[in-house]
Formats: sequence, C-alpha cells, structure tokens
Amino acid sequence: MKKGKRLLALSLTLVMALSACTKPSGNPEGNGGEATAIKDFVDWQLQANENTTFLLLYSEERANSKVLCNCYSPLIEYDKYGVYQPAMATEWSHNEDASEWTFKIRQGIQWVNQAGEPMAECTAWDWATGLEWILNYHKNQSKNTAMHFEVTKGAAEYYEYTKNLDAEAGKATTAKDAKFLEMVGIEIPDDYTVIYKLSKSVPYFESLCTGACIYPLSQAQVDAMGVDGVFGQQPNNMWYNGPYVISEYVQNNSKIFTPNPEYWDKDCQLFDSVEVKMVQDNLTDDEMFMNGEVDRCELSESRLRLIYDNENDPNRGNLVQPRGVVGHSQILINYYKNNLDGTPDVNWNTAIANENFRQAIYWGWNTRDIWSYYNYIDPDSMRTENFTTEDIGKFSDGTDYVDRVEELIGVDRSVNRWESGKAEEYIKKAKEELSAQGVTFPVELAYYIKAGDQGAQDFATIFKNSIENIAEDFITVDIRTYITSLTKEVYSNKYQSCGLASWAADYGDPENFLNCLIAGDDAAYFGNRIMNVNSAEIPEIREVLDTFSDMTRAANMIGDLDERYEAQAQAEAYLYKHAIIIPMRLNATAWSLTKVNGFSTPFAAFGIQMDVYKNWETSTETYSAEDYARFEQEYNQGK
Amino acid sequence: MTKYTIKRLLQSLITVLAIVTIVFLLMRMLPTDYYFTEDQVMKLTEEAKNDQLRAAGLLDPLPVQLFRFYGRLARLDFGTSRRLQSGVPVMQLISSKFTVSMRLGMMAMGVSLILGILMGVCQTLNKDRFLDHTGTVYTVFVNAVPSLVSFSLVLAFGSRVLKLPSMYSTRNPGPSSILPVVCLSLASIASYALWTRRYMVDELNKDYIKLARIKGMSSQQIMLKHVLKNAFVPLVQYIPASLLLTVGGSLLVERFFSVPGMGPLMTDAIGKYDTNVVQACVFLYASLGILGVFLGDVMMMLFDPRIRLAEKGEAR
Repeated sequence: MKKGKRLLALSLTLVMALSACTKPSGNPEGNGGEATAIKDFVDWQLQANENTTFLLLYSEERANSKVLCNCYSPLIEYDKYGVYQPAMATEWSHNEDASEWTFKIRQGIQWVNQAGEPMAECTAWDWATGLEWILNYHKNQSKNTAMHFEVTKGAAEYYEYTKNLDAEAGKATTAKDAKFLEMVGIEIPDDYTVIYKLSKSVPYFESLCTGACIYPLSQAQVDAMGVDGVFGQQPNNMWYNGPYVISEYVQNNSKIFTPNPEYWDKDCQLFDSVEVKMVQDNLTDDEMFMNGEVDRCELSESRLRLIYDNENDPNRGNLVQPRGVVGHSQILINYYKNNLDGTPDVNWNTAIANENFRQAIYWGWNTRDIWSYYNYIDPDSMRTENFTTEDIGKFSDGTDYVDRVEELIGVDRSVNRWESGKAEEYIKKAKEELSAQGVTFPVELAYYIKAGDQGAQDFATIFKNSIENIAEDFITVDIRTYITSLTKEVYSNKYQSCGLASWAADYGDPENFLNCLIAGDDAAYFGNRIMNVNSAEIPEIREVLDTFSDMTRAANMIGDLDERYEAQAQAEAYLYKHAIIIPMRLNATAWSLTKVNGFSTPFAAFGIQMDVYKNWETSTETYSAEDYARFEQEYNQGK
Repeated sequence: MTKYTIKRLLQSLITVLAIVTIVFLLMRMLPTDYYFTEDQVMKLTEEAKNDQLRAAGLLDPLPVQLFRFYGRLARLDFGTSRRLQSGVPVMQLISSKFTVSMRLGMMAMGVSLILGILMGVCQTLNKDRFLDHTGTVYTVFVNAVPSLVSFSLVLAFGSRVLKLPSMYSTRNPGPSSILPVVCLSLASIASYALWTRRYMVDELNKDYIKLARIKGMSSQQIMLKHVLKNAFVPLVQYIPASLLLTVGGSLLVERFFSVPGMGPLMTDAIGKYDTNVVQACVFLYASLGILGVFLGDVMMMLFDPRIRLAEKGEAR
C-alpha cells in the first residue's frame, strides 16, 4: 500500500505538472475586493479519521471529538484568543480553594433531533446524567473515567459500585438515584444549577470543562432509546444541543452539518452548511482544492515543493501556515530496554543512565535536517526547547509558563544547541566513563518504523544520519520495523531505545504534560509505556527520575497558581538540565492554501473546541500570505 | 438435478461454517491488546482493559464464546461493531454499504460486458489489423500500468478536463459515479475482450466452422450462431460469481473515490480488530463466493448442451 502511495504521489505529481497551465482555483493575487464570506463551507478529513462513535462521552480521540464538538454545547467554551466564554453556563464561580465549582445553566435551551425539532429541555440534570454515564461500568466501557477519578469526589468508588451490579441493574441506574448523588461529588440544587465537588484543589477546572468528560447527556434520550441505543447512536437518532446538527452522514464519504435552530447563541456566525468530505490521503485534498471542491487544503510535501520552487506558480503567494503549535516532539528515552530475546540490553541501559552520554545527545544532536523535513520553507521555525505547549498556563504578571521554563534552562535563542560547542566535552567524558564500565562504542540505538511505510523510512534515514553525526563511533542507529502496532509489538516488549512523540493537552495545566513522564504512576502515559521509568535500575538514573517525579508531584499539590507554575517550571527545567528527554521539533500546522482566516477560529492549547465551525472568517477567494500577515498582526494586537 | 443441487448446497453450508469457525478461532488467538487502539494501549491500565474486555464478553471461555457466536449466527445477528462504529449493529453497518457497492459494481459489470465483448468481437473480426492491435495495446497497458497510476490519470482527466466530480457523492450519485465506474471497468473490459477474442479465434480454427463455410453459411451467421455462442460458454460460468461479488466492492476504487461501499470494510475491520465485523464480512464473502461458483455451474449447464447430455448419460 505504501508503494502504492508512492506511485500515487508520482502520478499526481505528473498530473500536476501536466496541468500546471490550467487556471488555478482561488485568487493568486490575494483576497481582492470582490471576495465575500463563504456560506456553504466545504472541508475535508482523512478517511482514516472517520468517526468511530457519535457519543461524545465515549470519545477519547480527536477524530471523533472534531465532529462531535459541533453537535454538543459544553458549560463553557473558549474563543479565538483562548479566553473562556459562557456557553451553556451563563456564569460560574468556585470556592476559596477551587475544590467546589458552581455553574448556572442557561434556561429554555432545547435538545433537538436531526431535523432540528425540540425534544426536551437541556437542564443541569443533563450534566449529572453525563457524569453518571461515564462513571457507570455498564454504560461507557470505562472511557473518559481517568479525569474524574483524578478530581471528582467519589468517582472511582461509584465506578466500583456499578461494576458489582449486574448489567441490567447497572444500565437502569440514573443520575437521580440516591446512591449516585450520595457517592459522587455532584449536586443539582435546582434545574439550572450544577455544583461539582472535587477531591482536591483544581484551579484549572474551567479547562476540564472544555474536554469531552464534562459534557451533557439527556436522560430523556436515554429513556427513549435505551442505554444500548444511545451507546450506538448515529447522526439520524442522536440529540443535539450544539451549533449544528449532522443532517446527512455517509460513512467514509461525507458529513453535512446544518445549523441547529435551537442553538443558544443566536448572535454567533455559523455557516449555512458545512460539508466534510472524507478523502483517501493527504494528496487528494490538494487536488480537490485546486479543482474548487474544498475550501482549504494542507499541502503534501511534493505539492508544497512544486509550488514553492516555481516562482511563477500562481499559488506561491498564497502559501500560509494557518496557526498554531499543536505540540512539541521529543526523544523519549527508554531507560530499561530489552534485547530481542527478552534479556535486558545492558549496553544501552548502562550508556543511557550516564548523564554525560545523555548530555552529549542533548547538546550535540543537529536537528536542522529534521526541521527541514517537516518544514521545507521555514525550518528554523521548528525549533523547540521544551515539552509543554505555549498558552497552557500564565503567571499573574502575564508571563507564559513556557517562557519561564526556557528562562530556567537558560535557553539562548541566538544559537542552536549543537552550535554551542558544549557537546565535545560531554562526548569525551561519556566515552571515558562508559568504556570503564564496559560499554562498547558505538552504542546501538534501536529505532522502529512501520514496515513498508515510505514516509517513515525517509524520516528514519534523516534521523539516523543526524544522530550518528553527533560524533564518530559514538552512537549508531539501527532502523527496525514492526508490522502493525508500535505499542503492541515494540513498546510492550521494551525493544525500543527511544520513542519520538508529542503530547496534546487535555486541559490547561502543565501537570497534564509532566504527569505523562513521572515514575510510580500507572497512568503515566509515556513514562510507563515508552520510557519504562519504573523499571530503570541503575542508581544514577533512578535518582534523577525519582527527583523529577517528586518535584512534579509536589508542584501539582500547590493551589496558588503562581507558586504552582513556578514549581512545575522548575520540575520541567530539571528534565532538560539532566537531558531526561531530548526536544526535537515543533508540531506546527502544515503549509496550506485556504479560504479560512486561521486566526479567527476558536483556539486553545487544550480541549476539544478548536474544530467548532463557529465565528470563522472566510473568503470566497484564497487568502494570500499578505492577508495572513495582516491577520496575525491584528490577532496579536487583539490578544 | 434436484439431488445434485441439494448436495451442493449442503456442501456449501458446511464449507461456510468451517470458514467462519476457523476465522473466529484465529481472531481469538491474537493477544487481547489488539482489541484496543494504540492510544488505549498506552493510556489504559491493565484493570481498565480487563474491565472493557469483560464487559464485551471477550474474557469468557472460548467454547462459551464460540457457541454464543453460533447462536447469533443462526439468527444472522453478528452483534455490534466494537471499533469501526462503536455500538452500531453490524448488519446495519453492512446493509448501508453493500447497496452502494452493488450498484456501482453492477454498472461497471454491465459496461465491461458490453464493451469488453464488443471489443473482443471487433478484434477477432479484424484479426492482425489495426483495430486488433489497438485492442491489444489497451489490454497490455491496463495490465502493465499499476492501477493507482491509471486511476490517477482517469481522475485528473475526468475532473480537470471533463469537470466531473472527483469524489463520489450520495447527493449527486449520477455524475459522481462516472469516474469510479470507469476505473472499475478498465481492467474487466480488457479481460472480457482478451478472453472473448481468444475463445473466438479458437472456435474459428475448428473444423465445424470450416464445414459451415463450405456449406455456404455467411460469415455473419457463422459468427453469431456458432463462434460467439460457443466462445461465450467458458465466460459464462464466471458471470454469477462476478455479479454476486460486486457486493464486496473494490478496495482500491472505493478508497480512491471515497465511495461509501463494502470494499474497505473488511480490511478496516481487520486493521482495527473489529471481530464482529470481520466475522460478518467473512460469512458474507464466503457465502457469496460459494453461491457464485454454484450458480456458475448451473449456468454452464443451461448454456452448454454437452454438459446436460453428459449428466443424462451419467444418470443412465
């Protein structure tokens, strides 16, 4: 299939070249005076990202929430600047230590069916029903429970309670049952007030409200369709309270959104319709944009090069990067690697436990070729020095949390790490110390890619060269393959020397990133599965990992935001000072041709609302790079 | 004939049952991690994974699962999809797709049969002349060039020059079906043309044709009454199977034009380890394949008198 993709790319490139003389879509001169806003917006999505569920409470993947965030309205939402705005909650407040949050629910808002007909009023009880659904073992297959277990009083206990019920009794329970209200930290004093009672101070609870685990579900719908019916609901029988209903849905082909006539926000700007076309791969959307069949496209590497390298290409002046850094990719080092026969890889484990060895990689690894691979036009913009994304938290004086982390590390933005000249000393020391311990050089780094994936192979070659160039006879990269599943075939067996990964935040607090890496926590996503931080045995690295974990845990207990961020920034800086993970690149949005002002759409570093088609500024003509420069300037001024 | 039919049907039933049982057992042999997405494997604790598996009945003893499966199979109930469309009944998932695949497949088959056989006849009538060579070039081209390349060319020509929709749309099924049908037909036109030509040329060289010529039959009569009819017999046995298997759709074409059909369903289900969907697809394809072969044999009997005579002779 990958060979097929290459052929497809080749043939499309041929077709592009042959048809270069045809008139391009959009306005090569930029957005002129005749352009108007788009009323019927046409978007695209990869077929691989087709919805696997239409029940938002069951959704944990962006592919699902990307669609469903348009169908459901949360308590609060964020705007284009990431500022919280009232949604179904008109106002909200919390107690002194932010462990109890009260929301006043908008009155008279109706749930509607696919035809837009009112079905029942959306009240505070619907948030209780949503919470009961998630915490009920028999209803939601344990999806989205983790966040509530962490913060909501009695959540884990109620889950265990329902687990002991038989399926019929479990499915019959509702949020109005005394047992639920007695056990779980939620209170509904009247139909328009919901109070969340948390097990600890959660100053970032507003950001949790923008995630899938705190969304409503109508008990009237459950009564009408039954638990199994709601679990398998489809656009034709689901109930909506968000800006759109999905009026047509054909799996792997298209979805058509039309405005919900009962949506609470009558003043917002919605499209008359949004059609999302499902395409086979990221070459097809380019072709469709050129044919005027979609209103934006993310350019494939081949198409981008074709346009950028041809100064006469009419679309060259329209190349833009819509907005946003959606994560920072890192080398996540495995501190307890196994050989293929299941025995510990002593050579690697000993080498990587040595701080000078890790610092040699941190300071000596030239990542510019990797940046170029991901950003042909502006590789230096891919530079990153940290794991946490911008806008995840701000000190009271306005300083971004990430800026504070960089300050603590002492980042010098005028030179790249590998240009600082610090690596040589670390390499020399590492070789001396490790040779004395019996480590053989070059140390072999096992890097896994999917068999037959040409893109992964291309990247792996660049990665290999860049790592091996740190120093002669220092590290060698062995590119290995897995068949279908990296986690199941490789990570579960601890065969990898490292994983390359980034994290997209679920909510607005740095702990969301740092907790992924800590030791002694079953839920530490990367720490347990890729880095094996709990298994590392060599005292030198054990101490470093435990210190970082303790610093993070202590920081997460602090309620005062400034103190909390400072302590978390110290913990994160410790990560880099000891080269526990190695920053690699930003995950910026792809170069695009678009009729959407990317600075007008809802935006935050977390939550699921970035894809809501609400208040988008669009043009019937393709925006130019100049337009985008102006948008960015206006956005920064507005911010 | 009746006895033969019943015997064949029983054999078919046993074959289908054996196939679905083997697939069921094979899928249960994979590690349980395969029931989860990459993300879930990373995120969920072992306890949470076991909770989900238990809730889905996947931790029950294998014989219990197997007999539950047979019980449902008897009612044609394949349960609900676990990963492709969580909670949606599998039959609902399949029924929404097979009509699309079947409609496109039937159209493509009609086009292929008409154009392919016509092309084969024209090639035979113009053997070793320009038309014959042109047909051969087309056949070689279609078979030699990778499908993705020829589909890309069809897509580019169709959408850029003829302004046809490049993606199938249920809102506009007529025009948006043209390019998928063309792509589905490309190879089968070549195939029907190739075999029609081959069988017709074989027939033309036989003695009874020479005798017919000597007896003064016109070339047109010979072609229609003898050559084409006899050349059609070997082709006919594959038509029922091809027709039924249109339900299965085409993986490549349906992906390429975003046709919401059956083509990618089974590979997607295998890729995502959606066991219920895989089992339903295997059951469907096995049943249709076996039924197709059976109907092919029946068609052969209807079209070829020699087979009927042989059967009668056997009966005597």
